[in-house]
Amino acid sequence: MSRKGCSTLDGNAAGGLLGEIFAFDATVARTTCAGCARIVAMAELRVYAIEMGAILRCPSCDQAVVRVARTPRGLWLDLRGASSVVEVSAEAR
Amino acid sequence: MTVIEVPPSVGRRLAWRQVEVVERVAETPRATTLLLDVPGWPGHLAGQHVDVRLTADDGYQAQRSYSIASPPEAPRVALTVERLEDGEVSPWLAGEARSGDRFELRGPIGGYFTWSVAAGGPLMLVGGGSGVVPLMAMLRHRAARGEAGRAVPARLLLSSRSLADIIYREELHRLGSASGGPVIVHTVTRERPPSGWHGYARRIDAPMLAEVGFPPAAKPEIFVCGSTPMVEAVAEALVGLGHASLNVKTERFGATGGM
Repeated sequence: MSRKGCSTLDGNAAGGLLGEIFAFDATVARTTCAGCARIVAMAELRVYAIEMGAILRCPSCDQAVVRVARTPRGLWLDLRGASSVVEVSAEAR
Repeated sequence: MTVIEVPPSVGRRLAWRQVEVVERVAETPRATTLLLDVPGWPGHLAGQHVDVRLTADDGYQAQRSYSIASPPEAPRVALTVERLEDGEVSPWLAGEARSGDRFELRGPIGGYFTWSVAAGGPLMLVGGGSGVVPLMAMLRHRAARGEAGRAVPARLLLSSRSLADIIYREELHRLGSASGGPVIVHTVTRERPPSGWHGYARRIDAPMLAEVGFPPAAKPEIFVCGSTPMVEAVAEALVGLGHASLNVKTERFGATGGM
């Protein structure tokens, strides 16, 4: 909800927002980029905060892997940039 | 189906809580620690953060993430906030919030940038400015765990603009001086340090990381937190020195829109 422009952080900062969507901790989930097939934890994606949401991009190829926006009807999630998102349980970390 | 819509009432498991400031501690001219009373706090891991939300009289809301400074063992949740000049949330938290003031918080958040004594080490921490905050939670956790904590070798390399800008300077000195304490190494980047200074006086670079850090063969758990340029430079240098990128966990901070 910023009135300012974009700024690059990483997926750690989007943890609260992702927690509104995923039943598991998405920041540690192994996420495969649909563009270049690189696999990283969602925390390692580059985050661009936008008005009412966030775009999480691949650190290698800049593909928009996860896009989330708040709409008047609720949260909008676009995962077309991820070919898979795999939960990593606390025991497996 | 790759596009879904989540109704507003579903999936909000991480509730916003009203919290109260119990005490404020001035750390540096720009950084302040707030000790909070958080009803129903479920506990946390060292390195996790919270989201803070402030609501203006006109209903406008601003939201930011802040690392938790306190270890899991502490009775109160502590946040250390550095004031950003054109920030929307930090000027109030760092400059205005007083004992008895209330605001909204949700957390703890994030399992990626976390460490516990049980995870072992050696533990290598690299911080820039207020990036020391989650690293301090790890060192406080290590100290709180006594002998089990001391059994994990730990080193902190902390870059600050000037001596006056070093957050937790006295406590870091105390921790580092204690038997079995972590090795604490400072570098300052915007000030000529006084004679007798034992630290560095330049930005963190590969030779500094090689001198201060554990060798790659020791397979240290490495945590790097700071501004985006600092984190990228340090992570790249660490991988260049031969550390596995899987063992280098990073967290970037800076001014940003709330999410």
